[in-house]
Amino acid sequence: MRRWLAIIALFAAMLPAGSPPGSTAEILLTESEIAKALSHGPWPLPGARDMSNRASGDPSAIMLGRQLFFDAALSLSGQISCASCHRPLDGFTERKPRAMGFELQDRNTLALLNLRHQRWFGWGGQNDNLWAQSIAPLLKPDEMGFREDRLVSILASAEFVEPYTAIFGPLSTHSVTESLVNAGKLLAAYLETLETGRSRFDLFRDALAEGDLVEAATYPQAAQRGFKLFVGRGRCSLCHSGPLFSNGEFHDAGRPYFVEPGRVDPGRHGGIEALRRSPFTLDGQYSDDNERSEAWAVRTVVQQHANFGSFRVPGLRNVAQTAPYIHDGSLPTLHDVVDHYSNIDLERLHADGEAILVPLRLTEAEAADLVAFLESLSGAPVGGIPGPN
Amino acid sequence: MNRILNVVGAGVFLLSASTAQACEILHGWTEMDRARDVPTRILLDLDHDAVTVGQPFDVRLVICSPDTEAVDRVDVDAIMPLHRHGMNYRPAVRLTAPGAYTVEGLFFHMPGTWQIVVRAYRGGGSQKFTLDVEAQ
Repeated sequence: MRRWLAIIALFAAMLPAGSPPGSTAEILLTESEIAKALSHGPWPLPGARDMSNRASGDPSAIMLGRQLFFDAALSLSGQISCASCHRPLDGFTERKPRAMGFELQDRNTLALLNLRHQRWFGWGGQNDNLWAQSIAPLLKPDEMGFREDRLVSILASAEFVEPYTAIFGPLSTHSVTESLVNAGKLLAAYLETLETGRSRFDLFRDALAEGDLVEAATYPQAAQRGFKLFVGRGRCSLCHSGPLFSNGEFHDAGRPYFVEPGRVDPGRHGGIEALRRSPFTLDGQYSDDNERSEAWAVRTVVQQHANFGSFRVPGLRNVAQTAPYIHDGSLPTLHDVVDHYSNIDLERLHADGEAILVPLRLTEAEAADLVAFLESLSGAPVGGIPGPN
Repeated sequence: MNRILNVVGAGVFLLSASTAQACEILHGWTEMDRARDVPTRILLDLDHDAVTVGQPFDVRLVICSPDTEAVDRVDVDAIMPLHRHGMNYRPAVRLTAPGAYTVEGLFFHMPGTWQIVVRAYRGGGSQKFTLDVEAQ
């Protein structure tokens, strides 16, 4: 296949300031690889209102949601807020392998960026909407727990009562469950605003889209080689596809299932079971979308044997800021993740003969290139790093 | 999800015509592959532009057979033969006219070659029809 070459060595004057004299900038991608690069953008994606959440996009709801996010008063102990584990300075996750609520949790804390574009939430996809996922930690006694009296007193406080009533109607007419769901909708309105900015890869991708080969050629060659592996021999882009670098579905990554001796994490299988029991789905009574326009997924999702031990394919934007990795946080660095896929043990797969993953047997240089590409997916959070106020 | 359902046009002819007639393949319709000894044909109205990875899409299909009762019902699924997996969602198949169906909620979650598989049942037996589709 023909390579698109933009060999700039002959045109050193066109290189950006700071380039070493005599350095060579080159686009290493084939036409087919360029087409694949284009499929990972443009970024950011347009954001649509969540029709299932009447608070979505409402500025006062976003403000209230942000306050709830940082407010430990909602938890049973009054000491754990959402931000205790989803730490803004750590990419809205934390550096621990597994989350710690009142007790140690089974899974790694997922980063809370670019959520508005997801179909499923949580490592097992136990929720099909962001407001249900937002109250999930409160509903778990071993994670945050919550006290009904505290929830009602927060929502009835002088700060909340007027905007809350304007969005949802009088608090006095709501059951505790309705109030909790509404708190989830306020949290979701805030979480929708957390997005990653444009990354070095996006600049490369957009330059290719515009035919600006000079700009495109400034993308580091190691990252380009890494991208070629990502979409080629590595087959990473089969699951990590599209602008989010995730197909939004669930796959077996070949990691151990045992949380502790004698107990396994069922992954997506358990997620679907929980989804089917949940009253908080897009097909349920708490959705504000009368058309139930996005409820097709919860209605038609199939429970399969291969779901057992499968976990969501995380998006890779800002992945360099969200260590440790994998559903149980058992891989400390991106190098460890690449090494895992390079030497994957196919015996561990629980995928009913699915033939996607194979040991990549990457050289050290190739592994370093793949990491260089992954590191180029970082962009500063839109609007900066938020705090409680 | 209803984009294809809006593409009526040429399909109206097929849907209103008796399925006992030999179906003409009109613009936008594709005949599915079948075994040589299977007399029944199946035509699929597939808008390839609507096939986007990670987005549900719909198709219509028409049974073409000299026998007006050639098929009792159809099941529709899709697989990635090279990856050896199927879809994560079950599409809904609805009979819209004798021998005509809509299939709502096909969903390809990976780029690559997918194969739509239709099984047409009559009595205790079934016939298999396939069509390869490239998803980007």
